[in-house]
Amino acid sequence: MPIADRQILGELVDCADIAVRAAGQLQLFMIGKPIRDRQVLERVAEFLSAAEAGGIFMSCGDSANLHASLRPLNWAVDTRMNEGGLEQGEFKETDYQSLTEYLRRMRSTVEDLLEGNRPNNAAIEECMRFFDSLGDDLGTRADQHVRGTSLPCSSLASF
Amino acid sequence: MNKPLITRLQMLVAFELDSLEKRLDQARSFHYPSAVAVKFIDSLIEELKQQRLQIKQAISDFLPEYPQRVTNELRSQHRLLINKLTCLDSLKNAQTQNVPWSLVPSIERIASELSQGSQLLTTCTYALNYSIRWYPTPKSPIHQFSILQLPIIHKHNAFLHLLIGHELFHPLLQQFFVTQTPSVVARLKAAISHLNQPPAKNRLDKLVEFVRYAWQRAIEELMCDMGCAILFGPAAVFASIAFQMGSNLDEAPSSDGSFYPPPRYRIREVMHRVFGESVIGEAEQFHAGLEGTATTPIQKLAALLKEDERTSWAADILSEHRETILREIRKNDDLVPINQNPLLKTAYEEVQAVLPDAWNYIRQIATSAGMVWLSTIDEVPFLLRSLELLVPPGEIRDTKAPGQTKSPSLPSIAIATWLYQLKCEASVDASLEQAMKSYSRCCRLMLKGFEDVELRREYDAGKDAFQQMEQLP
Repeated sequence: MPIADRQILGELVDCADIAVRAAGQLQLFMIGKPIRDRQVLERVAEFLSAAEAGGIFMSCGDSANLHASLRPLNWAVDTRMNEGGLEQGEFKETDYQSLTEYLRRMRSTVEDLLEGNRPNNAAIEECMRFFDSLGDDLGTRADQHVRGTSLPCSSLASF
Repeated sequence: MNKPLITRLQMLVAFELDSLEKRLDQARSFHYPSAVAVKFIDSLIEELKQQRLQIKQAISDFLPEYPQRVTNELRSQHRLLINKLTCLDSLKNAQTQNVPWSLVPSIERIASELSQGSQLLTTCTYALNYSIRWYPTPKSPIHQFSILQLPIIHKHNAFLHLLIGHELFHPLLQQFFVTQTPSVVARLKAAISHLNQPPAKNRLDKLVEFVRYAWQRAIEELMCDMGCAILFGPAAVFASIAFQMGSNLDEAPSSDGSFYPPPRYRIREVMHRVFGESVIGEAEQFHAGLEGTATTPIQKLAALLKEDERTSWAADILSEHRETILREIRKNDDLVPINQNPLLKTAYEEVQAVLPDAWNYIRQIATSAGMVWLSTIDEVPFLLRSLELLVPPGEIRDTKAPGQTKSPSLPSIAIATWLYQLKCEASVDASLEQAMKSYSRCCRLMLKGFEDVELRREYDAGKDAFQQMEQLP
């Protein structure tokens, strides 16, 4: 029973953009160029933190840090499933636990970068893959709602 | 993606950027009832400059080695642009000729009193709804703006425009949700897990979010309804009923319908929480503690109107309409579909659990802004007497300064004009055509009343400034 994407279109478009641009910044770092857009990394860290709070809540019931929606978690799970990192089917508490660990690892990588540390290449590649998939997933969902559609005004004429 | 295709995509986005910027530039030359529209245009143009810069950087950073990355960035910028196109409609319909312009200064004043520093663009929409769009956590200058939309077909329908009060509360609720969400989601998850016949649980996170969203949307709407009722008193309820009558009062909340609570439910909660009315009836089993207060604020207003024989008719009309509304909200048809759906039932049990806190939160905002209808009800009888002479309700005698006049409050104008309109409607010999003429006249009287208040405010502010200048050496 999903929430209709059109109701949260602005959120989808913004989040897709942050993911795409964050992946770009990580790519820059990987090829030895300076990171230009710290703000986008800060925003993606906020996203990961919100998704992680959702994961903690779903795995062990602790909701103390969950101050808004579970959508960041919903999207992170969707993306991870599409990536093949999680099995389809019933999603158990342990699955939420492993996802939370994964999100925590990525947040820590992004925060390291923001603090001027150098995370290892594998960690950056892992983040980059995730943000690429997230940007692609959310962007595709948003695209379906920004287009106009040809439709008959009424189907009465065909009766 | 190969180079020629990237060039096509780049041209597409560049064309869209140019086209949008030209249109925004043209929009600057039109007349708007306040300075907000031009500031909004400037911020949008600044955003477009940022987008151009980001595209340029992506191309220089990633071509020719990483074409897919450039494609992703260009597509994302394209999406952001397309999502901005609605702003052109908003600006077109914000022009002075397209909005109820005389109301705009009052709307901006209420908005700034409720939340200082707000930048509100008032516009019209072809959708049949009052709505507001805002950014809960602003990240760029454009996010400082909120867009208030009024249904264009009701541009001159001043009686409905009181629902703007409802919209102005929407951006003020974030702190409430930050505080309430942790405990609410925990209870929702526990309740969903214990359902006898739980829906498919393969994605419990989505199920909990679905119910949480239904809860949040219901609470948002109810809090804004309560806020509007604190501002405009019974006039807010009259406006709400007039607007909702076009749809099913018992429509179940749904994803398709943006999870609006049923109109009957909304009116019941407002009548109970804001006006202390007893709504005990068929709905008793669902709501807790529905007994009302001894003398409700509406009865207090009726008693005040009854004191003067020239306005006692208004007391009768008010009491009659109060009874009609109470009869309607004591039915429970709206609760049936909610109780039949286990997820909605779970969400609405939580709605009931937090409503007392929600009401306190809203009351505090309205009280701190000094915007409570009850504080100026003694103005209503004076305004009713003006309306009976077809004089716009924009001025009353200042009882503290003999011979002087003062501006009435906006809620008093709204309440008095609504009561006068209800009296006109009750006239049995009026044809529909006459009734419509009278309705339009009352709309103009209300708008003129609001306009006079703002003009006087401007005049007084100018006079004070002039006097201060005269005192300078």
